[in-house]
Formats: sequence, structure tokens, C-alpha cells
Amino acid sequence: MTKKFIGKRVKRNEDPRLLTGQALFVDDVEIPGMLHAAFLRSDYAHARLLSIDVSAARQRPGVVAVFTAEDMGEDWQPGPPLVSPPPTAKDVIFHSRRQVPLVKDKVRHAGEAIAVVIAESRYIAEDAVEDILVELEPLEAVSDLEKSLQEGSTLVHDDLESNLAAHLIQKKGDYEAAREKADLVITRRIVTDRGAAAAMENRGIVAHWDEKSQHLTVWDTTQAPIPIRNGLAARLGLSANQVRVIAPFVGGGFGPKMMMFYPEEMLIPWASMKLSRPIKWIEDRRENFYATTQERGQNHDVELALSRDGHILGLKDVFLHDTGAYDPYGLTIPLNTQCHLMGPYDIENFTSEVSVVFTNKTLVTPVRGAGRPQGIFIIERLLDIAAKELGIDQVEIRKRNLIPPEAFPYEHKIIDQAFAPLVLDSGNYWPVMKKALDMIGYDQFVKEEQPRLRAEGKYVGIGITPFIESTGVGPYEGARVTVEASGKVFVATGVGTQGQGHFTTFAQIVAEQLGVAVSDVRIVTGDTTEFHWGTGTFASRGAVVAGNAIHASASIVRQKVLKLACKILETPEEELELECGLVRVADTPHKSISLGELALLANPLRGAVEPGTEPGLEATAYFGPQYGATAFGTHAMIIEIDPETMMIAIKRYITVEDCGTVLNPLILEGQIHGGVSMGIGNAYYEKLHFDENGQLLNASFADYLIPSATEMPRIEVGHVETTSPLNELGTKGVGEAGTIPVPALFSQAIENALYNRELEILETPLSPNRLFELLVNEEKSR
Amino acid sequence: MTINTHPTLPEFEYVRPETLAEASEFLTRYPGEARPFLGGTDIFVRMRDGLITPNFLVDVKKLDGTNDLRFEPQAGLTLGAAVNMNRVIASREVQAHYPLLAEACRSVASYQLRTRATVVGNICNASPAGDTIGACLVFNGVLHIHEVNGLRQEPLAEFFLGPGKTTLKPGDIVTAIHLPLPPKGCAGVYLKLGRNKLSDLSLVGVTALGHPDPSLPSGYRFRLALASVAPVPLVPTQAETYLANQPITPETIREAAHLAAEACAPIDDLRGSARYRKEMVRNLSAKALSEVWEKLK
Repeated sequence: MTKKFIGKRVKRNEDPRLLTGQALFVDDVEIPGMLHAAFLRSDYAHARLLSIDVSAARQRPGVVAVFTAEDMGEDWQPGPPLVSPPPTAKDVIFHSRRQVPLVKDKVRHAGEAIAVVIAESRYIAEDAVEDILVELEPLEAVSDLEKSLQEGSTLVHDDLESNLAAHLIQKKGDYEAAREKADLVITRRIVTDRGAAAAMENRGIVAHWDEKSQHLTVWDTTQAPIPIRNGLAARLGLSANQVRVIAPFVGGGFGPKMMMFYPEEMLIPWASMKLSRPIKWIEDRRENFYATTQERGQNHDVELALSRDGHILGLKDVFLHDTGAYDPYGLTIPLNTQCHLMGPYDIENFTSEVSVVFTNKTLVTPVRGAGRPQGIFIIERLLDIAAKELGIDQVEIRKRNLIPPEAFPYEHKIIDQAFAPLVLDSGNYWPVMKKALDMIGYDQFVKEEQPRLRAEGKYVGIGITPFIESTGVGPYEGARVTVEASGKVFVATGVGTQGQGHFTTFAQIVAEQLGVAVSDVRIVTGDTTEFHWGTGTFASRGAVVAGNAIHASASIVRQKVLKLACKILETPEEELELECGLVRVADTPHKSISLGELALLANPLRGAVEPGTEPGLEATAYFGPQYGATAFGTHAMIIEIDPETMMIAIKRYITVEDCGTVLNPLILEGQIHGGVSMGIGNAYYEKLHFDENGQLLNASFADYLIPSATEMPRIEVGHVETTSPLNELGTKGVGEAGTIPVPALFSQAIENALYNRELEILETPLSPNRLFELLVNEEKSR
Repeated sequence: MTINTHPTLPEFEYVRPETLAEASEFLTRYPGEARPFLGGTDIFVRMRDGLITPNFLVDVKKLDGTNDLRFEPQAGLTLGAAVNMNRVIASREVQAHYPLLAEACRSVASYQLRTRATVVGNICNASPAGDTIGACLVFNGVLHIHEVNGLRQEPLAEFFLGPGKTTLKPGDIVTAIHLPLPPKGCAGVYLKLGRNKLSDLSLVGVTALGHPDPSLPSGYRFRLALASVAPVPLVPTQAETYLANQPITPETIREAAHLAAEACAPIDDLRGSARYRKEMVRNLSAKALSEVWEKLK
């Protein structure tokens, strides 16, 4: 069936509000009598709290309250675990140690909150923070991943025998036997380091406990309003119906805002109830560097076994994953890494052993990519090395190993982040890669242009990196679709929105079923009063899981519309069509009734309705996929390196995406652009530098560099659609796709550009300075 | 004891004297507590981060002459302390006679910040990374300083003592920088290396100026100034002397660049290693000198 709305480049419904400054963000919330919070945070990464004296702070005029862990009494509880250890894997070690609301005995990372001041203004609150006298006994800090597991290392959690947070081995086939048969075994140490999500909007919370109505309203920059509502109700001893959590417009989520129950997220509502006053806390940028979660620190010792013709026989990877001071997010990231280590390739023998380690650093939870970029970086680096050693073309070695289209659904025989067997639902990989090669003119560049430019003394390189992205995981989302008497359609769903264009793509899905204009569909996301059930916006799942729930609800409403219209228009349902907000007889268009009139008739004031009839044109439905849909894509890039400064210029940047059914190419491309910019940051600009004392050395945007418009190339986006069989819309997620392959792509293109050097890049992120250092080392080793 | 995770400006008194004498008198009365105040682009950041804690900021932007940008065909350019960088960039006289200074100003941060940032502020901040200092050095800039006992002039070349340290004494107010007339037939270039194309502090900055000078064996005088590679903005005199005495060729330019790199003593920090910076001085000096030489030939 040809689609009228899905797949069209519809401009975003939400943009006029956003562009004219009319959209509500958390910091826009102003309530009479509102107080403001500021936190006292530890300077040390690891220290024992000896004493704390808040008396001077309490006496400062304008200070309403100061709370320490002691003051919280029984209410002091570590945050809830977000994800439990995998029940389906054997011999798993998992030590759950969750973040605490305020430090009670020991500081475990720099920036951990020790006390909170509530005052009449933020200014007073911050001045009062400086009045607090706190005595900390510094302890040796655990910063390095390797050292954290060494005998005698200081313990982040004193009750554990070591800093091992978790341990898990996943196997399929027989790697050792495959290794025996291999013509070439590549063994390398590959390291990935930390970056920040650096959303434009920092975190923020406004909590308002209304004593008279016994109701708590919380505005929160969370990606998961419903779980926050549920958790707050449980912790604060309230019914879920006494708590309303609103995640309004949010200036970027990127994963860290999916982390649930940050200390501040629990404390501010708790304090509002204690004081019966509304309280606002807005995180500042420096707090964000210390207290908002980060990602990507892993050390891999990896082996790739290949036959002479470049076929991968097996992969073995033993790696360390840095979880920071606590591990509320369980094994999600290292499991994602394991699930992406084999990339889009058909690999029969695989062993992966991960040790998750505690360090005295900021907590690690998913950041756009969530373990996937690391997995792709490893396999793609190894293939580049293998191609060189075997004398096979970079593209050819990949083509030979791609999972063939007939192999789908492809069972990987390991478990994924949802603890379900990893199955790649569908795909047709080579045409996507081929399209990227064609778009960038690979053959022509390699055969003609590159030799010519090299002869001119230029260092130009090309990279081409395919990747998979597991997306759209369960458990479920739901939605309620209502045709209103105005003829407009109202949709409520539980996910939060942080710029993904939900107000448009979701509206397109509804418009497709009900034949109304996209602008006549009003979407509400992220308000627990509007929709009661759901999980959140993460893991590239909005369009897949919430999208299909909306599709399901809209389909039911369509049936209700047709059933009622068939009676009123005295025409069989098959002969009716939904167009322009009307139900009309297909070959007699003047015989019609508007959806608004139908909605009124569906909710009569008098008379009898048939048994089993529900009032109104409304339906609520849920969607939970059997397992996550796996998207595929390929990025290609041509760069030029200034051999004197190691500054790079991106000459071409191509992405080809196969995320199944495209709902709106305009929005899809926007997500890709944003993802690529984040990937470029990961690859060449952004790195958090922690010293051996666990101190973050570049906690400001003057020192921590994010790419800006001047670093962004023009991105050419191509699409291929291999629909997912796992949902009716055929969608797969794409939110993280732009980011995932970029560090691998950069390394390949840089090595290709510096063709006359024996450079092997085994780390990410890089920088001009770091690339220079690598080349100096290469020169020395020659 | 604790991280200042809520960096805000500490309390201070804002003072706006009516006359230079009054300003100097006030600054002398509160040595160590009062500081002259121009655009605030550096001072506020350093106050926010707790690096300095002045009790008084003495605004000198309305004082006599500090807002003047004056070019005299016989004497050169006098740039008042309060003249912001966007005014410098937009000035026809600067564009005509000191395009190198305009180029250096354009490399500083963003347009918005340049409406506050001043060249004199950049100088007085005495950061080795100051982008506009090099141009003022190679044009032989002279500072006009108001002190309690009157006025004095001080060559910029002798002004810097260390990072953030200058010859200024309590009560001193730099009212202007004066650049003598540019040498006849001169050409200049400022090459700035940041980690990104816009807004980063310079990892390395190279200012080069050249002009014909028949009194020298080579027939040309080249001036160089290096940013971010020593405790103070650095003039590598060995390189300048070398080019004064050798015929200008690609080889001698390379050797001069080598001498420039040898003259500097950069530090390792998060932005770049000392080794990288030194190498960049070599590469960028060679590039800058070649570009200037191309214009002179």
C-alpha cells in the first residue's frame, strides 16, 4: 500500500514553539514561594568523611534547610538497581553497588554530593555551601582500570574483596579450535577512553509537594518519566497517583538522563515534602562534568583468527570495562560491546570475557552508542590490520565476511543487553555498503584521485566502515489515541522527548491511519498524568517501540471509525476511505462525515448503546517486540591531514542507513547529523582526562573540546530500507547510528592518509597532538 | 576542601573613578585588593575559578583617552585601553597600516567576546597565549602607563616577567598601547594553531613580520613572536638575527624556524605536549616566514 504520510519529509510540528522560545524547559518552571538548592560536593575522588558541621550554613539569612546523610535518617537509601544481572547466563559475578543520595561514610568519586542547601535563592544557597565545614580524610584513589584489579589495590567498596564489579564470559563455537586452523592470528591491545555526553541542557529538577492536595509534581530532565514517577512514589511512601512527573522539552538526553535516581533526583522531591515548599535545582556545567554519567572506558586484549583468504574463523576478546564508583546500570554497556564485537560479520567462533571494575571516577552509564562504538572499533580495527597483513583490499575483506541476506534471522548464540538471545532480525548488508561506496566514488578515488593528490604531496585518506546497531529493545511502550470532537486527534504516550522529533513522526503514524493532517495530531510525551505506563526513551527505541504502540492504537481507532461510519453512511466498510479529516464513500466523495462529528456520535448523551460498545473513538494499545531489531549502516569519509600539524579536514562524509521503514527522512537525517557530530567528537576532539588521583583535569568547555559548526562536514545521507519483521511498521532504530562507527572510520581514514607511515591506531579518542605522538613513537620504533 | 562546583563570581566592589589620578590613587590605596578592569573576559573567569579574589574592580574604561583609537601619519597608532577588538578589526586605519593586528584580533575567541575583549587587556593579562601580543611586539609597541606620579612609557618587549606577571606596580594603569609607524613595505602574518578552527585558546601562535632593510646583510628584517610556548610571549631573537645576516632562501627560512623552535620552552598540558608544541613552532614559523617572504619578494 502506498503511504500518504509515512516516509514523507514533513517539517517538524514542534519547531515553531522551539524556535520562538515558547517551549517549556525545566528551568522555565517558576512557582511562587519556590526555593533553590545547591550541593556541597567532594573535592577528593576517594576520602573518608570524618565530620561535617552545617551550623554556620543553617544560620545564614535566607537558608531554609541544610541536609546531610545523617539528617535523612531512615530515608537515606542507595538508588534502586536499574538493570539486574543477566539471569540467563551462567557463572556470572555481579556485585550491585548503587549510588547514594548523600555521602555517609566515604566519598567514592570527585563531585559526589555531601550535603544540600535549600535557600530562598540560588545565590544564598551557594554562599551557604561555602559555610559548611567538612573534614575529609583523603584515601588513595583507584583511577586506572588495570591497577584497580591488582592485588592490594585500594578498594572503592570496602565490603568487597576486590574492585571487580562483575564478570561474565560469553562463548559460541570453539575459538581455540578455530585458532589452531587459522593462517593468521592478530593479537592486539586496544583501548577506548571516556567522554562526556555534553548535552546542551544540563540536568534539572523542580519538585512541588502540595500539602493541601497531598500531591507531588516533579519537572525533571529525565528520559524516563514513568519509572521516575514509580520510583519516587515507592521511596516517598506515596501512591503513584499522588505523583506527577513531567519531562518537558529537554535539551538533549544522549543516555545520561536515562540513568535513574541520580542523588539530586531523589533529594529534591524528598526535601520538597519535608519543607512543603517547591524547590528548584538546575545543574551547572561544572557539576555536569563531575556528577552526570559518562562512558566508553575499556581495555581490550583481543585476537582475531583468519584464513589466508581473509575469512574470519574466530574472535576472542578479554576486556576490562570501567563502571566508575557504582554500577546501577548493571551490564548493559559491556553486553552491548560484546554484541557488537562481531559487527555485521558471520563469525562462528567467539569468546568474550569481561571484567567490570570499580574506579573512583564518575559513574558510567550509557551514552549514545552505549558500548556499541567500542565493539565496532575493535572488530573494524582488527579487519584493517588483517587486510594489510593479508594483502586484501579493505572493502573486499569486509564483503567476504558480511552475514549473507539468506542467513536472517541470524542467531548469534550469545545474550544481548536485554538478556535475550542475540538475534539479528533482518538485513541485506552488501547493497548498503555498495551504495556508500558508489556515493563516495570509492574506486575512482582510490584509482585516480588519491594517486594524483598524493603526487601533489597531499595526505588524503579514505575510510569505509560498516556497522550494526541493536535497537528498539523491549519491554514495551503504550499509547492512547483519541479522536476529539474538534476532529483533531490527541495522542498520549509514556516516553520522554529530547529533540527526536516525536511530535512529528508519531503524528505521521497516526495520520496514516486516520487520514488527518499531520499538524492536526497533538502528541503528548513525558507526562505521567497523560499516560500511566511505559519505560522511556533510550536504546534507539522511540520510533520502534512507542511508534508501533501508537500505530496499534491508531489502527484500532480506525476500525472504530469505520464501524460507526458504516452505519451512519449506510455503506460497507470496504467502500469507505479516511481522507482530509473525513470518512467518505470512495466513489461518492460528497457522501461523507467528519471525524469530529463521528466522535460526538460515538459518545452520545441519550439513548442506548449496544452491549460491548466503548464510548468515543479512542483506543489504548501496547507494543513489546519479541526482541530488538538490528539496524545496519555504512559510513564513508575522505579526509586530508596537514602533515605538519596533524589537523584534519573532512572532504566528504557519506552515511547510508538501513533502519527499516523510514518515517520521516528529514528527521532521520537530522538524527544522523547529530550522531555524526557526536562521533566526530568521540573520534578526534573529546576526551575526559582523569589523573591518578581520580581528578578530572578538563572539566570545562574551554578544556574539553566539543566539535562545533566549523568541524562539521557536509553530510550526504543515503537510505536503504530492509524492513524489520518484528513490528508492523517495519522500523528499526537509528538514534545512535550516527555515532557508532565514527572512531573506527577515523582510524581507518587517517592510516590510509598517512600511507607512507607504519601507523597502527589502537586507541580512541585521538587528537592532533595524540596523532603526532603516535607518529613520533612509530618513527622511534623503526 | 571542596570543589567549587558552583562557580560564581565572589562578591566585589565595582569602582568607577572619574579621573586617572583618582583611579591610580585608589589602586595605590588598596594594593593587592584592587585591580584595573577592562572588558572582564579574563578577570571574571579567573575570579569565578577562585584564582584571584580582588575586593575592588576599578573600571578604567571611561577615563581620559582610553576609548581613543587614533592614527597619526607621522607617529603611528595609539590604541586606548578600552578599545575593543571588534573596533580594532573594523578600523580603516588599522586595516590599511597594521593589517597584522586586525588579523590577530580576528583570531581571538568569538565575535561576541571580542566586543568586550581589548588588546591592552590581552597584554595586561600577560598570558603567554595572548593572540594579539605578538603583533604589538613585532611592531615595537610601547605602553602608556599612568602611575601615581604621572605618565611613563614602557616598551612592550620589556613588560612581561612571567605568566600573569608584568612590570606593573600598584597604582599603574595602562591607558594605551602605541605602535610606531609600520616599517615601509612590510608584510605580516599570524598563524594560530588551536585544537579546533574557532574559539580555542592557541596551542601555538606565530606572528611574523618582514620588511626590506638595506642596512642588513640579507637586505630584510624579519620579526617573530611566539605564543603559548614559553612563560612569556617570546621573541626568538636568534632566528631574527640569523635572517638578518643570511640570504633569504627556503633553507635559511627552515633554519630560522629551527632556531625559533629551539628558543622556546613549552610545557606539557592537556591541550598539547611540549614536544608537539615545539615541533609546531618549527613548522608554523617556517610557514609564516615563507608566507611573509612571498609577499615581500
